[in-house]
Formats: sequence, structure tokens, C-alpha cells
Amino acid sequence: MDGLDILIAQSLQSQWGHREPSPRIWQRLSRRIASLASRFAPEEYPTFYSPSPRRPERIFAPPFYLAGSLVLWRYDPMLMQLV
Amino acid sequence: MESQTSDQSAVPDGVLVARLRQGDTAALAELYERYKVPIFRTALAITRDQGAAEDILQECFVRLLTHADRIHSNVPVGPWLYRVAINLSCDWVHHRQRWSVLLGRLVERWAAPLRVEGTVEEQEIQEKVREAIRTLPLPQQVVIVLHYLEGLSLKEIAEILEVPEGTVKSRLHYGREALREHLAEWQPRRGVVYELT
Repeated sequence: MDGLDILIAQSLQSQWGHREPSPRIWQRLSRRIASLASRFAPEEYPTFYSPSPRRPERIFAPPFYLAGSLVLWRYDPMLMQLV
Repeated sequence: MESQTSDQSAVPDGVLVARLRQGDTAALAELYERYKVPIFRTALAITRDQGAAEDILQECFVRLLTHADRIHSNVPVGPWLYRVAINLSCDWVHHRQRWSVLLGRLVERWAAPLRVEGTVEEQEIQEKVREAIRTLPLPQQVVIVLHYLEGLSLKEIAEILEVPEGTVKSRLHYGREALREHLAEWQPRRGVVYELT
């Protein structure tokens, strides 16, 4: 190891040798893993992966999003047939 | 690799990878603790961007989870993680090159860490060395970072990059020679002579 080697090593170490990732990276990673884990759940371990808490038990979505449309959808028999 | 030699009583990587395959995310947490610093540091030294390095660190461990089935459990996982981090870092640098170099330098100077070591003159030449490293071809930069920052041997670097050891040696040699020439041009103008032989 010569003078140039030492200089290169010192230059890199002084700038990045003491740097560490922020603790929030693990928190972000944990959240991402939690969402991935349910998708990658192996069949032999079904209970380990709980479903995402954001997923509703039953999906209920009216065909129209506006309140007025909801009224139409609920009471107009013709529209009911279409739906 | 670092984690395999630092603590003989630690659970081997292969065991953790096997647990990971079975959905044990605690094993991932242990591997993260083991490798987060060297992987982050390597990504940071190549990209020179804190946010990018953190994203790359995160992506490495997501891929470790999703690719656990394809990783050999009888070898340390370090080289695999280094390889993913280097590939992601190089991709990031290629994309970044489309942006203004000047803007990048300004941001780097603005975001420079407060911690300072050595005299002003030492800091100045160290900055010059880092700038000179940045001008090297990316494969040479990667070898220099792994060798001088991470302290890896040529054999370990060859294993990570999946190239012959001679290729690593050659990249290191040409990288050093380019740096020597770069710094030799700079020294006479500064009136300071450092022993670089």
C-alpha cells in the first residue's frame, strides 16, 4: 500500500466511512414487507400472514359515485335492471 | 465477508435465508441489521445521494424477500446483496447523468455533512480525490469503493461482480493510474506536492 492508496482510502472513509442509514428506512421497509407478505404467502403457512387491515371484509361499491346517482340507482327500477 | 467473521456465535446467513423462505420476517430483520451499513455505504459512495442510497438499501431487502427461493443458503448473502446494490446504484447513476452535473454538485456541496476531519488542506485534497474518482468509468469507481471504503479483497470483489479476479485487478490498476495522473496535474498548480508513488 503506497501513498496514493492511503489517500484514496482516507478520502472515501472521511466522507462515507461513518455514514449509516436512517432508522426510518427499516420502518418504511417493514410497511412494504407487510404489504408484500400477504401476496407472497406460501400455502403451507396460511395463518402467519394476516390480511391487510386496509382490506374491507366485503366489497360494496355502488355503480355510481355521486349521491344523486346513488338515489337514481336505488329507486329507478329500470336502472336497477340494467345494473 | 464482514458479518461472517465478526461474530462466530451469530446465526449463519444460510439459516436466516431458509427461515426467510418460510415467511419469517424476523430473519429479514436480522439480515438487515447485519448488512445495512455496508450496503448503504456502498450505494451512497456510488450514487453520492442520501435519498437514493436509502431507496436502494430498501429495495435490496425487498428483493431479498421476494428472491429468497433463488438464493443459495450455503453461502453468505453479503455478495448477493452487494451485487444488487451495485446494479441498482449504477442504474441510478446512468439515469442521473441526464440531469445537470452542475446542479448535482451544488446539491452535494449544500448537503455535505457537518463532520470535518483533518486540516483544511487535507480536506481539500480529499475532496479533489473524490472528484477525480467521480470522473472514472463506473466499473472502476465500483472497484475502488469496494476496495478502499469497504476493505474487500480482490477475490471478494470478483465474487460480488461475478467477473474474473484479473478483471478486478485491471480495473483497480487503471483507476489508480488515472487518479495518479489527475492528482499530479493538480498538485503543481497548488504548489503542494504529495507523495503518490
